[in-house]
Amino acid sequence: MGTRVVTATAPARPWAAASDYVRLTKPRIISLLLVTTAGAMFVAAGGMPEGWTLVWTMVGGYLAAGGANAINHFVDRDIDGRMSRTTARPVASGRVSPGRALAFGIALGAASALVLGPLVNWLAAGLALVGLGLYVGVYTLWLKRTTVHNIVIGGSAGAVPPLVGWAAVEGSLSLPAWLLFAIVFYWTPPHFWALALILRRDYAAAGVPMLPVVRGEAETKRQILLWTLVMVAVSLLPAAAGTAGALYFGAALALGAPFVVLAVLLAREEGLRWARPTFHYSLAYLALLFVALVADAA
Amino acid sequence: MTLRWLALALAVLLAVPAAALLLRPYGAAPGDDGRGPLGRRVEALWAALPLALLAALIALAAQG
Repeated sequence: MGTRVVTATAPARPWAAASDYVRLTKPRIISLLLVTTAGAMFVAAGGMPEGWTLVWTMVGGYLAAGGANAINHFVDRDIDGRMSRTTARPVASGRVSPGRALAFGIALGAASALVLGPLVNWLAAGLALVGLGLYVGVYTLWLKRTTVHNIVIGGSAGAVPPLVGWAAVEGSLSLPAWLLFAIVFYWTPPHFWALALILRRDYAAAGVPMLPVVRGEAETKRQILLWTLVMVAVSLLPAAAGTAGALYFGAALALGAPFVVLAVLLAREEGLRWARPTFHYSLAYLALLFVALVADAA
Repeated sequence: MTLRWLALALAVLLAVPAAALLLRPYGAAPGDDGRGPLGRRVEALWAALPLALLAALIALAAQG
């Protein structure tokens, strides 16, 4: 019986190990980041960017973000082990050693620079590393455990991918690039706090000062609504600056209105029934907003 | 041109009241929230930074 079990499970181990290393990069989160990177590239190019530049920017962007996420697994292994959502993560569960996760993350970060620098340009490579540094240094190591504003300021890390995409095409950064950065930056608080409301007990158990833990549900809902209004305002700025036209302007309003409605419903209810729909809509919102930017630029 | 001004006006209409409401708790007299004066100042700084960036972005977008 024992021999049979070994025979049956042994071939799966290399795949399981590979799967754990892929999980270290948090691929589902990166997919949305890459949508914003690609969107910025299409807008900067005024249509389809050069094919290989697009491919290498996506590869380099994945490596940089994946490296940041792997290092995050290393740094946060103590609190990951105390939260039900993250206790099965490769490092927290002991399937990947902390040292290997750290080395993997550093290697991915270095690989991103080696892909983006020679094959795209060094500004894009530098910005990708700035994003990695912001996520690891500013968010994970500094703010996440010390202030209730962790996700607001630390959210700047997640807003770097559009800058990478813009720089990959233009070789420089101009106002439209910063407006795309701002869209992701101001989208992060309502998006993340909707999730934090759902996971508030996990964060409390781990001692992470997320807004719902420190200020309570009512204040979090109030701030989600206010930051959603700010986010919708920011989403209109590409049209105000002349970067985007009527198609994008209409899409920004059409996509922003349901987000505001969801935030109002969440703010007015006693429980958290609208927290999950708000979180899920926020994911679709960001992707569709960047699709609208691309459609407008084409 | 009309679209640009309409977008800018809507952005300002949405952003200004929301930003004012976000900053209001930091303008009030400090309560007994367990944080010292320095802690409160740092918290206020973190809250003000994104809103200062917002004001700058609106101003730059207006200039096109």
